[in-house]
Amino acid sequence: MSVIEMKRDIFCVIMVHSLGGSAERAAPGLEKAVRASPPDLVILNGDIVCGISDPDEFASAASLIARAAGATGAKFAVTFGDRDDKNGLTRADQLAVYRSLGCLTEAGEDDIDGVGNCVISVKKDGKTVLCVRLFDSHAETTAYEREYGSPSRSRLPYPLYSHYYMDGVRFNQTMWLRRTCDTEIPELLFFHIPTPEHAQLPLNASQVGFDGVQCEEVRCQTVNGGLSMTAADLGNVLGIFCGNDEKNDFFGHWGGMTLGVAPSFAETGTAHLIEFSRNDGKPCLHVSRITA
Amino acid sequence: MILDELFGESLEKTLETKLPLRFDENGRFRVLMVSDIHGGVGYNRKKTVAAMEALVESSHPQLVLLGGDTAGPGYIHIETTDDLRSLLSDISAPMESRGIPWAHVFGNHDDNYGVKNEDAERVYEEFPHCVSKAGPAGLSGVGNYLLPVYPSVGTDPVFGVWGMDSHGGMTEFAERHGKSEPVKMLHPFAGGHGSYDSVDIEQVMWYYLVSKEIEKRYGRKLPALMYAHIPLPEYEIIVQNKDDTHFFGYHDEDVACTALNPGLFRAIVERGDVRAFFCGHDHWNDWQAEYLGIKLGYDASMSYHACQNNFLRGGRIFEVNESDPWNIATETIKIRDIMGHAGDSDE
Repeated sequence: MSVIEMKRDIFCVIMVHSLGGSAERAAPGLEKAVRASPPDLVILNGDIVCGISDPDEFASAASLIARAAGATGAKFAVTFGDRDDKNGLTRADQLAVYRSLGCLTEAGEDDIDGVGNCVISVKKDGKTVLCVRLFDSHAETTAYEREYGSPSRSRLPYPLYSHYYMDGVRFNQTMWLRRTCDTEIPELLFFHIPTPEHAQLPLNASQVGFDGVQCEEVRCQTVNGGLSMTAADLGNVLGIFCGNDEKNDFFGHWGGMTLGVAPSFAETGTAHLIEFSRNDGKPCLHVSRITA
Repeated sequence: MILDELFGESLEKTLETKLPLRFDENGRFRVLMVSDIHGGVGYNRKKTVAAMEALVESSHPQLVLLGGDTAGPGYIHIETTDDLRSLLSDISAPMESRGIPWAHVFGNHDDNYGVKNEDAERVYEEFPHCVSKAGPAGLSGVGNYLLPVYPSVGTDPVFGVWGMDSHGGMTEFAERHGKSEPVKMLHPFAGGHGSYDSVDIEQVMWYYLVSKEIEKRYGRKLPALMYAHIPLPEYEIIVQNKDDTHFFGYHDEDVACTALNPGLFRAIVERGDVRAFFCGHDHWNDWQAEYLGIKLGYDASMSYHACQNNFLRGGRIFEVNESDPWNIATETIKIRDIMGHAGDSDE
């Protein structure tokens, strides 16, 4: 398990996703956002370096991003999104490159689907005070049709909340959360593709204290993997933070948690800032935005 | 090993049944499902008994499933385990007299008339041909089980029937999960008014892990039918996409399911063994459809008392052939068709 020290009373995470096709263009913006914060941990939440088939080119693009993320000495971690598949490298090969640059993400257990399902333990005075859990949320649904052998004659009906067909965090990954989570320790969850519950937030604005904008359909998971309900049920999960969308940028409260969807960093230059602290011994979360 | 640790029941114990279920000499396995009888001391005994007899007589099942809300609610006057015992003697007579195994799951009304499900389950299991099981102690609910079905000749199961307890309402959910208030429900609900419960994540995990252990043990997946009382949230996706889901049948009321999705349908897709999921609960729906290769649908109510529907009253038949147990054929069977009337006249 990766460990990171909580040096101040606040533990600050910057989350960005979808950095676009050019690392040269994304890196200065990322560095600016990081310097404005500065964070303890930078999470590159999927679609990081996309569209590169040459391993050397990939490595140099990844190192530009890693250098920007670490501009103030913060650690960084990655999760994989749907477009990270569109490189010539497998997710495992990409992770090896990121890890060589100091990335905290670990490959994860073999019998759980995906690459990079892992927990980063945040320690203060030798004790774990916060867990940051990362998931691979896979790609488009075609992947699971192929994987699970669902007959092609059963066309996918339109999901309830969007017309995109996304895979998302699978049930066996939800099960991993349920089995390995310590309910005494607060947790933050990060992955690329929002859950169906994220997509319900804008439709329930007054109930959930909706904060932000919805400009387009939420590109959420098509077949619900049970993650949001399980996290709400566990009670120690403070927030679930996703990306995938281009312009949507919102937070909302549901099931005792903060759910967030950040916009594409390449499109908007916006990062989500997630600050964890304790108030009278009670875990506290504060969320906001930084625009580079 | 892991099943023992997590749920307090080994695979051996899960695979044990009071009576073995087998494909017949023609390689056929037929199941009759009957739901929402809503029986009690004050129910219409004469009509229900005649209709049950007609259903079993005309469908020749090798297994009968009661899809929940067999007893209650309280206004049908049922208060004690003796009341339940007498109701079950009536209802199970066609099965017990013919030696046909039968099983049941609990619905949202079964535990709101004064008898706890734990106690009710013991009454059910007194019946010689009732093959239901309370299920692993480590799971919430009563009646989470797998019934293995063996080939006409052979020792390894080739088909399975899963029963799941889908609990009651959202208040019960909050209590069970130690929440001070129900989790806020989001609109649009993935279904109906969303005030009903569903299975818990632990029950889904149990299904997933047992299914995986079975594959390890027999070297192949076990095709299966799953049933529970309350519909899955995915039912709402079906009714909004009838053209794309081979939708067939009556949809005369909203899908009344949970607003919280524990991922049971997703787990079924990932495991790829359950090929049909059917429920009761919504008395006026009897449709079937297909989503991601899995048949989903309803068994309409048999009740003569609660939200009765003379036109749809009846059951549902499933038929599987051991040469291709992945293909579960299903159709409804209506009282009006087999009795010549809906069983609602006093003749």
